Amino acid sequence: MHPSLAHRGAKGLQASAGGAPISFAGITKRYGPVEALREFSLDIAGGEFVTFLGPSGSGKTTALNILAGFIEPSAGDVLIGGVSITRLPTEKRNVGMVFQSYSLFPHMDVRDNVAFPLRMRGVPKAERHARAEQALAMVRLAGFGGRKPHELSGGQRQRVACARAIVFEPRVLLMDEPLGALDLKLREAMQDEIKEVQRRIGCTVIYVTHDQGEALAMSDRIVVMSEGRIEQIGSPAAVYDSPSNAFVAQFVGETNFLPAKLAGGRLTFAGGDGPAPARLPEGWRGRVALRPEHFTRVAEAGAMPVLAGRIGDVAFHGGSYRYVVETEKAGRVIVQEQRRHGADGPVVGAPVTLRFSLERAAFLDG
Amino acid sequence: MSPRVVRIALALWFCAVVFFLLFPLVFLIPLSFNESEILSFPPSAWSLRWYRVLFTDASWSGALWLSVKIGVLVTILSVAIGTASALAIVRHRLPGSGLLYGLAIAPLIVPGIVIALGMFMLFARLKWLESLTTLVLAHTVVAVPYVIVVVSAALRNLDETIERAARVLGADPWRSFLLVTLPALRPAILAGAMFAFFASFDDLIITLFVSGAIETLPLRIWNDLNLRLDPTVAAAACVMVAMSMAGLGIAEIARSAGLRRLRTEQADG
Repeated sequence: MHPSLAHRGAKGLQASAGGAPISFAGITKRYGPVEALREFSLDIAGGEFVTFLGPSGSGKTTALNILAGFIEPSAGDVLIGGVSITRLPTEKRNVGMVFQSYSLFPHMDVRDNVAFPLRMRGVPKAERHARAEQALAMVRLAGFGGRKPHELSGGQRQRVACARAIVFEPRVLLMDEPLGALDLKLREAMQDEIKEVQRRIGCTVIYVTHDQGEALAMSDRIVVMSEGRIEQIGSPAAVYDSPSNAFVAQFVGETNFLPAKLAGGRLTFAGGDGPAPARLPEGWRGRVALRPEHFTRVAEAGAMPVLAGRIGDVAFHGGSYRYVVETEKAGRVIVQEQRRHGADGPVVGAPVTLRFSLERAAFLDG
Repeated sequence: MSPRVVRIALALWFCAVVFFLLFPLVFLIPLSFNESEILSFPPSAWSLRWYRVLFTDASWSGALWLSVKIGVLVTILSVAIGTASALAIVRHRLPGSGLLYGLAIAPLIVPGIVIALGMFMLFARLKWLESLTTLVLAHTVVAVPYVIVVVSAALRNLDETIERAARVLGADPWRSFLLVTLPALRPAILAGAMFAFFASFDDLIITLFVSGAIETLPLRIWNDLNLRLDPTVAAAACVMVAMSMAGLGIAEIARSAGLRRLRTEQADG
């Protein structure tokens, strides 16, 4: 990349008006008897990076497609910058969009692809080519304007698609699983690039993914969805640390569940008991949700609750180990352990005592 | 049997099939360059005189020109109707689109003589026989299905999200179609157009029933065979074969170029 071009590219696009706030107000989408989206309401601040996270069929793509105008909602209203766009045709909504399948126009070269939104907006040819070049520089593809899409790698194509989506300085950028078709290393590098681009142009981003790692790494807020409903909205740390229900606990990160109940001021669960957390009422029944890194392998039981068992499969992860413990009373537990210098790692088949703190656990009803 | 033997056997079989298919041409081509007045094989001396007759004799060159003219008109009509039909069937998911598709391509399956007879009775009642317009319409009926088949196949392979991308990036439906969908379909439309042209250019049966006194090239050949037999027929036939091969060659190149592009799109996609 030519440094001066990149610089100009950044400056040229910084002039954009920043991100527009978005509101979904009671959106429902029915397909016959099936509700793909149910009373979906959400307010997104201007410039925010919000991720819709969920498995396929959770309604995340439906919500995005309703915002883009590909699908008409059965009920409800969508607003961008406080103005209802529900009845506006797609091309008038002025949003940028990146698709999983890149969706570059195969017969146009990279420059014409990137300049396409400007052409649709009546920008003269010389200016739109200059601005396309700036946008390409921003995604580190300066000088690729003359190539055809089929001459590029998958990662390059998706960067062209990004340049095309931001070239007209939209105040809203929609990304529909943009990294889904790329391999792992490239995905991680592209996550940083997308965040970088967003920081520079300041647009509001709605990012759809089923990859919880991506959601945790990139988002200001995550909207966890399943079966057309919002399960939880919160910052990545809030969603990870305090999942509001078992679905979120399982879908975002890994979770071990211990059935438990609160009686006589003590929390009892399979394998032990501990002091009752203040927020739980007497007589509560439910499950204690513990992340794999909440456990510590110890030589002998102390004051904290413990689980005893035997180590099953051990996977070496570079900086950490991840292993399965077959416990005597609580079934299989997945443990993640940081490697410590000079300490022995977990040994397959060895007996083990796991200690954990209830302070970091989440408590799920039912 | 070893794979090698199988391969050789298959190659021989393929050669036999090709020979069988092209056998009539083996006679026709030398005959068209024959010096003699009668269709005799093998030719005793070589000459281009029958080609000269073909291109200078008013009845022959007129028939050739008329066939080309009808073919071009049929092609234009078929491409417009066929492409629009393919879009309606594939993209807009009309109720009963499977049935519609079947009906639209029925002329490919229904025997030509049946279609020709039906048209004859219809046009006779309407008193539309012996008109160039009628002939063009009649040929279009059998030419449109080729365009529908080829274009709808291409449309099914075309990733719908590129049209969505065009829309969301600011193109209204019409510009999205002109700037994105149509260029992507161009190879298929070209291939369909070639098939449509030759469906008309080669047609004899329907022309026999509805054309009356209008003499297209196939009809001219047919009439000539009934009256006398001179090597101009062979020359005309060779010109038709040459045009067909060129046209189908173009269509095939366009089709495979389109497929190749699609494949590279998907291979890394």
